[in-house]
Amino acid sequence: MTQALDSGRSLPTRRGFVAAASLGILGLYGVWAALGASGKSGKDVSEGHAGHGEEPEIASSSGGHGGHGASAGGPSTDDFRRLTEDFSKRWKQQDGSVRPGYVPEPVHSEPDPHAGHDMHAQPVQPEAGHAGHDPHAGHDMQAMQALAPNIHAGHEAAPVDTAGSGNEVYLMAYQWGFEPSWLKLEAGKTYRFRMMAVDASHGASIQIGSGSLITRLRQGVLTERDITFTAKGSHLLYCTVFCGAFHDRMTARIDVV
Amino acid sequence: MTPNTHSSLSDSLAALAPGDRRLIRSLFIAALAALALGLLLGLWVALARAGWARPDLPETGYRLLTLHGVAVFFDWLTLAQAGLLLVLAAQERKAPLSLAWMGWAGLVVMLVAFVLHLLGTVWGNPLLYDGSPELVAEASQGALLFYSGYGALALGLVLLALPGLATLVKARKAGSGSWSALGFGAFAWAGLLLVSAIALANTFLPAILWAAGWGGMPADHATLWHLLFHNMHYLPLLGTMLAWYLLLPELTGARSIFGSGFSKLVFCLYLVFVPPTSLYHMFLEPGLDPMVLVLGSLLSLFIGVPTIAAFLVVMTSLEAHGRARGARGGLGWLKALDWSQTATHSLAAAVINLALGGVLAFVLIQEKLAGLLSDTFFVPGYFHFMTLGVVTLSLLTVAERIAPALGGRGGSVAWARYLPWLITLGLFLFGVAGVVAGSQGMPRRVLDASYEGLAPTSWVLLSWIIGIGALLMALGLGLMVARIGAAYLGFGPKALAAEQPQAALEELALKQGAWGASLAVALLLTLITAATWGAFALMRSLPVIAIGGAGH
Repeated sequence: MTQALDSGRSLPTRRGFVAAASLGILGLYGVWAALGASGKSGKDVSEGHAGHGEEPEIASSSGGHGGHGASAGGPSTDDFRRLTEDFSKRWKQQDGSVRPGYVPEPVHSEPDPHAGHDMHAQPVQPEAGHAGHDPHAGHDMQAMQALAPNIHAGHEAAPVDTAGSGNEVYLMAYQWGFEPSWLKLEAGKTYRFRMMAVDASHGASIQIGSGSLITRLRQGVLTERDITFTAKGSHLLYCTVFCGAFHDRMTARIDVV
Repeated sequence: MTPNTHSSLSDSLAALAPGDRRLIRSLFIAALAALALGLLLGLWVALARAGWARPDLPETGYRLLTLHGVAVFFDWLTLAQAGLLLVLAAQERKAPLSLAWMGWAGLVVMLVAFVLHLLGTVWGNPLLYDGSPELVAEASQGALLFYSGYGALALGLVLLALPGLATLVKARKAGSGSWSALGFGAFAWAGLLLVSAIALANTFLPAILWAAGWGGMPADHATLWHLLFHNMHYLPLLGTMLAWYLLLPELTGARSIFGSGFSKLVFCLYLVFVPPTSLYHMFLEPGLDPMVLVLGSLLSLFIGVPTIAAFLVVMTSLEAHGRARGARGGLGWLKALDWSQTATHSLAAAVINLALGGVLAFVLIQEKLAGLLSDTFFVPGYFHFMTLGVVTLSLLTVAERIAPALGGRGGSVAWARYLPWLITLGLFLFGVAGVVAGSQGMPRRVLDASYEGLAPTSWVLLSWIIGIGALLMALGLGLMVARIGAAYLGFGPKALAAEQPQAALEELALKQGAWGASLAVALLLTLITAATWGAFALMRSLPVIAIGGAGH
């Protein structure tokens, strides 16, 4: 029918040609497939990493809730606030940073390569008095440290330990800041970020290298991401969802050591 | 042989009642005022980001950003589209408008909506144009006024669409029982305007009730906003295609060589593809099923189909007519256009901006890239190409073209031909710097992206370039709005009677090897592929591996 209507026309003036050319945009799906981005992979941002030929193997992916150790509904904002405060207290270092999973040797600590550059001081043992408020009370600190895998940059990411050890990072976003406001994390180690905006929607985005890792947090919704920093550096954590007058002052810092 | 049988736009407008012409003129005057205000506010925000303007209080800055979004995206576009719809209805009917009083009522309601938005923004917390109730914290008078502004806007949209619809229905009855392609497209578009009005009410009625103390806080406002916003920003794209269909014969004498039925099919595709493709706005929402993400990306590709088809129809027809009239060489048909007309320059600039915006749009719709680009300045970097460079330039071209027929002036002045290119240059600086900054993570919707020295230093430099681009845009657009506005108010040089361009013989046009538009689409697809590949390369180069985003 179309052929009959189009008889005598040059090719670009045929309706069928225009229709086919318009549908050419769907070919972009093939480009996505070639880039490995067409399927239900469960991985979102920065799924791969230059120099890491293999895909990371992480205990759970984005789609399912199973294995996260959280209830289907997740904690309430008050519960999450408490969890975050406990997390910060447990892993707080002498310099004010929060470094999950890190308990320094009592006598000799490995020298910090950033010492003298970034106001890092030698971390100290978490205050003993916090143990009584710890939701993880009963866990032996040394045992938990042993649980944390020691993975270095250049290796593939390891399965996340969901038992509540130093592989978890609690991050609370509020008007107008983050708790904790200064994190120290190890390069090559996979952390499960458990994040929640407690008063309004916020972003918890990390400026890293020549790009960023954008996360949107909705009020009262626990959002989990397994994040592995593969190189050392200091990164800005900032809000990317407008949250009120001091939105652009809402920052924190992540040092990858 | 098919002679050029279309009646000129001026003749159609002359067939309107004087009150109808006053209505259309008033709609465009109000629209231009909204655009001028939004333009100034937007410029201030860009200068603030560059560090060249600072509010005394941060609330002030975000209030201005709120009003920028409302004035440009809702007031200017709604009023200008209402004016265009009536022009299209007049072109179809060639007789007075039906239900014109509703148009006047709609205009009044739109002015009320603007005042409510203004008061609500000044008295309440700055909410930006999506008006999240979370930011109000508790019901307040300011929030009630702000949300009521959207309620009035919904009503205004209905009142403004109905005269166009009624006139088009009468035109169909009075004619041979069918519409022209343009009439059909206008009817479909007006229907989509009504759907948008319903989406507006659906989004903001719960917020109005809550702010008035008659209901609970709307929990799903963000989702409803995404649905509304999706409709509201594709609506002007269809309007733009209709504007091109309207202006093509006026400027060149050419008309579609693909037949009325094919054009109607293309317009229908917008109705088919726009509503189900809204998922991509939600890619960053926590807890979305991965399958929804994949489906969202796939569906989003379809939204490009009608726009590419409409572009091919318009541009291939134009080239075929040009070649049939003797144009030779690869670009001879372009050279043969009437470049003494400001409108030709405006539409040429709009086509270029459509290509630039289109390339970036198809990077943004890939769900894997959402975590790299969404909520960053990549988004305004891209959408200003579309809303300003394509839609606004096209609507202004219609406004300029019809000014003399509405009793205004609007004679041609040579310097006006440079304005679309000045705007495009500004857009290019603004857009490219914005896209680069966004790729690096620079967020949108902040007044100070330096983060007190903690942000990458490149963000400061890129913010300066964005500011310079905004200045150039504002200069070009401001002069253009001033010139057209003056014409509507009876100032400026008198317009000479427009000479009707002659059409080529359609049989001859159909035989032309008019490959220009097809090659442009091929180039566009290549650029989209390259940009997508580049974005993935950037994402994979980052020293981080992230998985998940599940919400509980």
